[in-house]
Amino acid sequence: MIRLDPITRDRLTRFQGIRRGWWSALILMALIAFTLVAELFVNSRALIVHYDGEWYFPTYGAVIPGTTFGEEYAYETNYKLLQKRFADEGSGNWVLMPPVPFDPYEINSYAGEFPPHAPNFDRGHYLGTDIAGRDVTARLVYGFRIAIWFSIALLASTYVIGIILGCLMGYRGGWFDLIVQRLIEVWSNVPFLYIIMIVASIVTPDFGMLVFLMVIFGWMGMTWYMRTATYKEVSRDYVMAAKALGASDWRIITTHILPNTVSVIVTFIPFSVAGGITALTALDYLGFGLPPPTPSWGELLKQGTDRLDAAWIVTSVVTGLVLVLVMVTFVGEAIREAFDPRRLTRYE
Amino acid sequence: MSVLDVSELSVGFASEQGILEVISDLSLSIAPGETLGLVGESGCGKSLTATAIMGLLPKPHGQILGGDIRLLGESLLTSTEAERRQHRGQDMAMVFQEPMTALNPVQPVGRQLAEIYQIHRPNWSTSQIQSRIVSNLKAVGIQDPESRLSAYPHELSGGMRQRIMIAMALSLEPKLLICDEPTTALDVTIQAQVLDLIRNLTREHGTAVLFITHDLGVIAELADRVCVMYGGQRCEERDVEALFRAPLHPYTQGLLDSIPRLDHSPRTRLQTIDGQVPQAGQFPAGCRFRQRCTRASAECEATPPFVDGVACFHPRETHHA
Repeated sequence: MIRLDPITRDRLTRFQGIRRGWWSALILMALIAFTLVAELFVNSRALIVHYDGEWYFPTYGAVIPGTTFGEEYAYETNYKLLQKRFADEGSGNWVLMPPVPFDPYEINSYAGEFPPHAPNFDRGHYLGTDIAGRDVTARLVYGFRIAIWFSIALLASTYVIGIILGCLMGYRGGWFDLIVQRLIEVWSNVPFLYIIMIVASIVTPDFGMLVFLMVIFGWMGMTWYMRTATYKEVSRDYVMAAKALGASDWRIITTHILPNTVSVIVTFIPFSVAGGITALTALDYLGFGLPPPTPSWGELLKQGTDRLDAAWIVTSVVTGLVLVLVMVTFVGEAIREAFDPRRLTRYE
Repeated sequence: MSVLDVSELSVGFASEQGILEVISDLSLSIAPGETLGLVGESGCGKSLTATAIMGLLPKPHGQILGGDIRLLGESLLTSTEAERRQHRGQDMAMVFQEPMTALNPVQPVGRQLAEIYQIHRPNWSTSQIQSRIVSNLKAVGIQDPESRLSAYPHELSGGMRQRIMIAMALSLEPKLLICDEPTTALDVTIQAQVLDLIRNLTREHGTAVLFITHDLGVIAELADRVCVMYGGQRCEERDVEALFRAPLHPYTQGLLDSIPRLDHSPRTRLQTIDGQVPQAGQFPAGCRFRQRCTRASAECEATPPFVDGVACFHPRETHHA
């Protein structure tokens, strides 16, 4: 069990005391956890099928062909139709569908109507469909899942690079620091959007590729902050005292400097998350992000602004975006406030 | 054989005007069990001497320009960084001025006390280390040491923190202990306790001590010999009693005269030394003190040799109460 030092404990208590930040953090955590099991709530596959005394749980696992349930086709079972058939037969067989019984890729067509379909509770399209007839709720949920995990992956990779490189720069100083500083300055001036456009015109970027590209052009920020934080810690007496005990550089960095820079790192996390989400949304909006038909908020936003008559599209995606970003910002604000050194100084 | 032998050490700092020599031709030696007091005004190079001995000069600006530092006969300047790391903590250790900042604020002191054993005794078990730490803390007079291990530095008093720093420095019974103004940040009553502690523990183990301070009272209490530094140079080095009874160098005399004394009649003006310490790099040639010295003559434009414990062309025994 990690024992928290009292300063961190105080900060946590203070963070919990800032109600809206704390609640936003809880809700966001819940949402992120929810995306891990989104298939159980938003899916065209049934949760449970009871057929001829057998139990089936199709959500996770291999495709179950229609023939398994006595359908004529051998491709994946259409559980919505199966549910209707079982209900009509009244044979004791039944299907339990998730609350939103749609796949984000599934194109729903209704006779005599052209998509986008307006919200319709009987059909289960709580937020309507997009211009291709795909359920907006499903696309929002899965779009959020991609955006948030994209953000987290981006954050993790840029922070790993930034922390390692920034620490080295601050700790070693001298020529190494000087050269990397100039490199960062030069690199920061590469126009990121052009590079993305060029790359996107040559290859279709997938998730990993896009994260990679964003990391390549986005590692500098954290490096900069970590460099400064390390510089500050290196000049403190306890580092000198550790050296006087014979501690190696590695030991000093890992056991003394890093734990003392945690507050810098933590304070930046929410802002990086918000930055990651907006970056992906913007790229998708411009069409340089993940290729269609990947569910994405940027692509939904594009559709929505193109088809303002189908107001449910733009309304849902803007609401989603605003809610998430506002919550992330609340968390960031609360963390910043809780970690504010002016309120809890331990220097004497 | 002496524990520490510093011979003709010169230390410089790289600056925009070139290399500034801040310590020049400093020689010191300390025998086992002996305590050498190093005295001087702020900026005279006392603390820098300590960092140079520990091999912790601020990089990349601090440089050793000449001379040698020998610990137990082995030169520290020609050894590798790994060898020097082996010496630090094990053969020589240091107690810092400010125990609050010299302890890591986010680690319980128990973990920081264990660090030296993890570094130098990697095959010791946790419980072995734990019991050593507890006995070390008892030795520095900390009551109920087991419960203190989980405390964080800011939860302890200044005296307690300095006791912990001393326990840490003496963990592996080093041959040389460097104390860089260890009592300056403490209350006077705690100062005396900490000084007693340093004296008793080092006498017990025959540790050589380099005690850096600007407080002559502390020196009189603790040191066997005193070395007075001015402007990066040694101006007088003698037995503590001889020096306090009859200082030879005009600077030492000035220092002793400027201490307030109880036998002065009330409202006596305190003696001061006229002038200021010049900045590094702007010292006059020859005797560095000559511009402030009442005894200076044309002779002093040459560097005075260090003879019979004093570096001055006209040493004079001035009896001092």
